[in-house]
Amino acid sequence: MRIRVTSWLWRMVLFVWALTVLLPLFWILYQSLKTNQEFFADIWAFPSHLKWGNYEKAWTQLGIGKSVINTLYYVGLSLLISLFVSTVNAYAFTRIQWKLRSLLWSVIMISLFLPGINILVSQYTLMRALDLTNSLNGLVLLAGLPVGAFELLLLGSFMRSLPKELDESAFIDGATLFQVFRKIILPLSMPGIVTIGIFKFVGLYNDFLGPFILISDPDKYPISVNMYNANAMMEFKADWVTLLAGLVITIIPTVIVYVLFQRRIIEGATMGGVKG
Amino acid sequence: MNKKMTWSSLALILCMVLFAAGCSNAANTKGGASNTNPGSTTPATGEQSSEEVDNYENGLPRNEKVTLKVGLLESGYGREWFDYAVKLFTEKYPNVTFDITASPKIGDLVSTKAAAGNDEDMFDLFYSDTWTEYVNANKLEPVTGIFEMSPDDAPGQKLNDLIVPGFNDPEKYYKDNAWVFPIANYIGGMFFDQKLFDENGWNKSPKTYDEFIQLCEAIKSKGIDPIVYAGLYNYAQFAFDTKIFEIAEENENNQFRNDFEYFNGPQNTSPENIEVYKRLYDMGKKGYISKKSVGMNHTQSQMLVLQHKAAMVPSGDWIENEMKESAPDDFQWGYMAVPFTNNPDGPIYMNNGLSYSFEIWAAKPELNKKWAKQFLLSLMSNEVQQELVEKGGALPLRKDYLDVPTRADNMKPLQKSIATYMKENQVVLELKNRKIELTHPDYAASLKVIVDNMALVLTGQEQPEPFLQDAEKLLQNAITNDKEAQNKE
Amino acid sequence: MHFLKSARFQKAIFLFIVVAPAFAAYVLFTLYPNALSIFYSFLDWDGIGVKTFIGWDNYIRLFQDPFISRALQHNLILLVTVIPITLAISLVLADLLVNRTFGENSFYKVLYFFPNVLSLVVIALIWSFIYDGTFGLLNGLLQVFGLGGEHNWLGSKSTALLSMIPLYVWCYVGFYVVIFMNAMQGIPKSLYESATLDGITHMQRFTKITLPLLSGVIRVGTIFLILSVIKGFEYMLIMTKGGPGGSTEVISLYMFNLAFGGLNLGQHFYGYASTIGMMIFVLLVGLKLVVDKFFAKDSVEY
Repeated sequence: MRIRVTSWLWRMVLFVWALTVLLPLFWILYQSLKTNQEFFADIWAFPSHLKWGNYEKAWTQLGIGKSVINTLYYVGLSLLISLFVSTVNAYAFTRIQWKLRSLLWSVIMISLFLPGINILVSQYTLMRALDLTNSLNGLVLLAGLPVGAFELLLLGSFMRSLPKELDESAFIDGATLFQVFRKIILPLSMPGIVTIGIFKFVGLYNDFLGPFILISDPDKYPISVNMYNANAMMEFKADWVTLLAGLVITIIPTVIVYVLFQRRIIEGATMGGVKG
Repeated sequence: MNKKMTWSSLALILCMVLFAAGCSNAANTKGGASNTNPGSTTPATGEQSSEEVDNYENGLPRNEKVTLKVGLLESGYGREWFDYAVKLFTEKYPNVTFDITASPKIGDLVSTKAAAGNDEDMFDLFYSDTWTEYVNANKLEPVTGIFEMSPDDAPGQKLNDLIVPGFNDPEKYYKDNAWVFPIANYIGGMFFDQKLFDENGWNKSPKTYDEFIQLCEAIKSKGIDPIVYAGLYNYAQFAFDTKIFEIAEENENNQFRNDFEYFNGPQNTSPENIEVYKRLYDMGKKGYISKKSVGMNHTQSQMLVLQHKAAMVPSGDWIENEMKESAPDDFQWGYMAVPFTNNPDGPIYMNNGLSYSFEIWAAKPELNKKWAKQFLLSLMSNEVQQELVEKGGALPLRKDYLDVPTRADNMKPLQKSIATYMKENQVVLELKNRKIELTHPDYAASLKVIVDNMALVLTGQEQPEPFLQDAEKLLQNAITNDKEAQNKE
Repeated sequence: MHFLKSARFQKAIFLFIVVAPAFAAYVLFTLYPNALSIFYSFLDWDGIGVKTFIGWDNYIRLFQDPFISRALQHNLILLVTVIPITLAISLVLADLLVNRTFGENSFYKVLYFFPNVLSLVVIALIWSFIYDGTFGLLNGLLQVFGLGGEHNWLGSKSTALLSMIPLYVWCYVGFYVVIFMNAMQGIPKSLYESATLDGITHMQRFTKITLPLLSGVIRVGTIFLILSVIKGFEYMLIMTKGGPGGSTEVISLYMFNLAFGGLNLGQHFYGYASTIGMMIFVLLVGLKLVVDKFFAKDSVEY
């Protein structure tokens, strides 16, 4: 009997935490279907009827429609490049022995400790000098090419857990490094790749400061900048329900991507034998 | 242990190498920035060469194409009026095109571009709340000249004679010039729901301080918070920061204006300022200024007024436009300025200020700058001002705007209420202009002390004197330094 | 001979193609701007005008600036609360999800991770309305239980900073639940079997077997949490602007305001801001070493 009670107790614990995640999301959803007057009249009340028009308004007024293609291009391309770079570098750093390995690894890990905000101006100057401002391609290069410490750590730890015999037997059979990578390590690392893919996707998708500073043509904004501006407008307007509708729209892609890949994410999120 | 030491020291060496590289490169960037090459056009300053130059009436060439990059602040006024102004201008001058970037956060973009040092990439025309730094670095174009020009709809008259006084004051010039071109102004004060006041028989325009306190008491006894404000942004300033002038008049301190303008004597700790804050502290303690104000943003404070949980909210006259989608259709905003003296005829000071402006970047081709000035001039035509007033809810800067009676009728309801209030009360529009511009960092620090802590004072939770004294110390240091630097004793 | 040469050569080419471009991009786009930042830290520069070299002045100012020590105190409060609480909750939830077979577990796994997917704007908005003094959800709940519920959480010096704690914990737990679950599932069941035969309680199993075996993961998690807490400031920027009375100003917010003229005062202090950036870097590296030392005694291999 005692076991049953404690069991139910723990079950409640899980349930309560789940509520803390569900409730706020549910709240945003039904707020986005109210009119502004209802919103201001009583924040917690349900809408009298569902004002789907807010979504249409958010789509056009907040420029979401325009930014879809930009977002797909910027996020998609950066993601692909970044995944390739991270995976192949993780392979190089964990499964191949070479002289500069430790040094370069440490240099890359430094980035975790850097505050990040104060380089905004220097980065802008640099991009300007390279003539890469106001270009989605410039953004893609900036976001995709540099090897990321976090991705390297996660994937690295994953790859380290794979047995060394796999590589060795392949070499004996005469495989090249690249073949070993492509045919053996890559497939086995899929859970890890998916995990960092999700993180990178979320990071790219939500990042607004970089694109905002580097792109001056509003037609090139990805959706994150539109939402940033929309939120900033709340200092001058009070059109909250449209903003919330816009936010719900922006959450949808992340939900879809997340739900599709969640099993793999959970498999791949390891931080076990991480050194340095 | 050994391994860690190796990576740390090697990393450090690498950083130092990069640092050295950074030094030289940064120097190059700085050097490069100062040799700007004119961007899209060739200068045509007064070049009357042998070939025929086809000019407009304003003296600028007809066939030289110019593109002006604009950094537009998207504020409560929206951008309809601006797009309209651009349309009018480009219809008249087809050789000019505009490349507009608009954002409520344009300031961040402007400061990043400015810091990056690439003049060609920078905006020609932009909104920024920074200007003294730019002037000190010789990056801004003086706009003084525009005030001498004639707007198209008032030929023969100088702009300076047509704008509301106080917005172009030569005595206030920094380094002998005006640098920020004014477009619209706002009025600040207390705003409330007229219907609520009517229903309860509350005094909608108290004439004396005592009457105002009685009003607060009456509201409070009904279980409603008399005043609530956006503590996060220090919105209380809109209702209270001109009150020092009223106290000075009551004290018959005729030196006050001069002392204020020239930063003579104590500022934060002047008897007038301390008196104002003491009274605000009392109001807070009595519960007239709601404790909820601390950490509140303006939307939340305005929400409380809409829900009749609070009665009055300090803000600017943009409040109606800002809340138009959220207020019930028959909602009527009322306006009052808070009297701080007990003289029923004594002037009540109203907070007045610049609500929209532009700056021009100096390191641009001469022709660009000339067109920029022409464009700014055009924003002061009554036609554009009308668009700004009627669509954006702003207050016009042209004195003669209301000469055409229909314009008065087409003003937004709140602006009309304010105009009525001004007619029915003895009021003074106060710009709080100073004649000396403080640029020393301690000035910013002194303001930070005030902004960080004032919400706690106004809600009666902390006494004002200690903060005022801290702020004053910093302020005086800035004043001394800047006066020396600017040779203005 | 020929074969060896070819293999080494092959390796070199592979490494070059793979590592060089990405690393070079990293150096160019990440390290170089930070190096410039080191340079800026020795300047008095408002971002636009003349750069004046002032040597160590900024660093001296760092030690004398009362806002710095105040900000660091705030960070300290967050460090000692957010990190242990997050780790504790994550470990407990992960353990429950791994060892108790409730039907809804797989749903929970997916749900808990969700806050990590949301953008800052959304999260700041949600929590602003939870904490609102008049209509907030928190106050509403407290009223239902008769526990008051009139407090202005973000508007009171005593509670504003503490209010940030649940927010951060809420954001981080989802991620660490997943991390810990994976790690726990990697522990061979055989290790538990012998202990269970001896008849230990679940609690003992958790503390004496599971936790020590997870120490590596916990260590890395701690480091990441420290990084996030010190570098984080966005929520304070959006929700409280560092107030009231500066009680939520954390070190990164102070740095950000200095660099970007946060008070709309039109003044920027890039030089001093960069100096603070340097200090943060040193601080983070130092904290990492401390954590490593702390965990070095406890690492267990199986």
